[in-house]
Amino acid sequence: MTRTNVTNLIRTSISRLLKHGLMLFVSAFFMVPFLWTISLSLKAAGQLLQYPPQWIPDPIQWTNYLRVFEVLPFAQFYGNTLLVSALVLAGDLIVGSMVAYGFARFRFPGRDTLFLMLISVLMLPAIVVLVPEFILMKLVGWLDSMRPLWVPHLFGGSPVIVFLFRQYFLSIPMDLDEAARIDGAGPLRIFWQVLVPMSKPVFISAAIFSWMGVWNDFLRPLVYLRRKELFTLAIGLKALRDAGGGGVASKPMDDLLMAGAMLSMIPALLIFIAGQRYFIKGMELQFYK
Amino acid sequence: MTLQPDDLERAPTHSHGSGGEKLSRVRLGHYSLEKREALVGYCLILPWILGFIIFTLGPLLGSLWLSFQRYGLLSAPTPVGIDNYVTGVTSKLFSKSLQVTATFCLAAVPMGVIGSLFCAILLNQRLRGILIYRTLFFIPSVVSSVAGTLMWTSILHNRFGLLNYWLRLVGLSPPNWFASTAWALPALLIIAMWTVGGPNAIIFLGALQSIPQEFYEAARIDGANRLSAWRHITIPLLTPTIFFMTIMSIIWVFAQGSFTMAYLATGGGPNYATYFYSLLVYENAFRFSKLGLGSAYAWILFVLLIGLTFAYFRLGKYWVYYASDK
Repeated sequence: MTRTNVTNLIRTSISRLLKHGLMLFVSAFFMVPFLWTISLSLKAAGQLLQYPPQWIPDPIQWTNYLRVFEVLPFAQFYGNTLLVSALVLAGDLIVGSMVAYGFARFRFPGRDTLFLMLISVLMLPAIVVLVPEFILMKLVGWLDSMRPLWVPHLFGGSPVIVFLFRQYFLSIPMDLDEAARIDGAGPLRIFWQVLVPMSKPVFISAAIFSWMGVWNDFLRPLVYLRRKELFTLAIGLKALRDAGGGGVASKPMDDLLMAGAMLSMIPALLIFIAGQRYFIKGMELQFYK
Repeated sequence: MTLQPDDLERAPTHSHGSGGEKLSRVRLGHYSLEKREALVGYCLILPWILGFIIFTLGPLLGSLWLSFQRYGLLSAPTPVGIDNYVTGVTSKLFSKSLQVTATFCLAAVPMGVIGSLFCAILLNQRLRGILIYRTLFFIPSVVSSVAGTLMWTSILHNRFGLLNYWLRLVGLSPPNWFASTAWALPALLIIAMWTVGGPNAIIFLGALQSIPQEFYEAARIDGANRLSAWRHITIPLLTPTIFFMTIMSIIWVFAQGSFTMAYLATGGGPNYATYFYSLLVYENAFRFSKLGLGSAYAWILFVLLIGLTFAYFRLGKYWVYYASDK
């Protein structure tokens, strides 16, 4: 009796160990680039091209992080990215939620068709729209400014966000709406005082999605931003690489570059870790069309 | 599917909004309740309609018109008929970029689906700290593709990169990744898998967890083993998810996903080995200022994708199993 118990215990322990081992192995694939980048970012220039590669830098050069700010106006990049993100966030959350409210709670002819059109924009390749959008921006003189990056979001946010909100609103029962209406509330008041307070999770999810979208966007800033002062972090990183020697295959081991990359990633990572529950919830909501 | 206000049928004495007028069952002033509702609805979605026209529909039609012009931003556009299309399609770079993008798709999409399904299965275990692993899997997708690409560039460096070092340790002779025409695309493949593995796994995870346990129990009672439970329950019920993931991935690769990686890591080379279609459009439109040609290329892509999507949905009826069917 005791022997089988012990064997079982050993068996489950080994299986658990193996499972964890497998998970760690797969996780390593996902995490190694980060760890390696951290390591590189703390290395002195001379140590970059070590072979075999060393994980722990010696000495640990924290000043790399400071030097990034000297080489390029990195603080400016941070500020720019924050600004654009904030504006896009405002547009996405405010306008996006209200548009979704319209789709979710009101009946009007063509509603479902229009919503289908909204979703189909998601499947539209960005580059198809980009070229004439670029010309449009040129016509209004908005090239080389940050406006093309956030103004479109004042017009209904992004389809993903609207979709997210609508699905969530649809899942809230109408009873409270009705109660408010009986009390004499108009549609806007119902929105602000009934739906919004009940929608904190989706607001957080949407906020995270919106933020990530802007923070990591590369193509649109690349096309629209010319002056260095306007660069966002994404373009700033590219500029950092160009400053380190330019071009595609040169100086891939640049220490400042890795420090810069880390700097650009940290806010996104922090936000993600803080809000991951909502992030993943949002993804699930989104996918169940 | 959507909940509708039932108050048209309910108590006729709802007071409404402004003025607190008592309204009769259907009429308020000149507008019926239905019309009022529709009006509010339209007002609410007005910003989106405007945005759609200005930023989506307009540019879409605009790029169609542009594709028949020659336009370099410096002077006014000049109509050139279908010149752009003819030159575009016959250009060697056109076929090359299609080939590159299609090859990448053929490799990336199956690998991506299978890989993330595998990860989802791993994440579906009842293990302590499984949530931590879930986070770890997901993190790569959170950072910008710029940062991700740069990180991998250093790992995939030929002489001093981490991966090649490890490969040499086990006795292999590793390739020169980004500098080799044969291995540049696989290198980008690795980066792509790394980026989307997590989110796709989460999607599959959601799908896996939504399969009712009763199915598996019933199967076990009937004597099915793990493998046939997989074949007859799990896979069929996952087909809708696989379906959507595949088409979205294909569109992603063709449209924009590949752009940042290729632009930063290889610039399309070496020798156009990683010249994705998105790069083709970008370079023609923005580097060579051939906006007409760029638009033509963009529209070719658009039509191709629409055709592909239609065909895909048609075919999908044959192998996608919806729980509502029987």
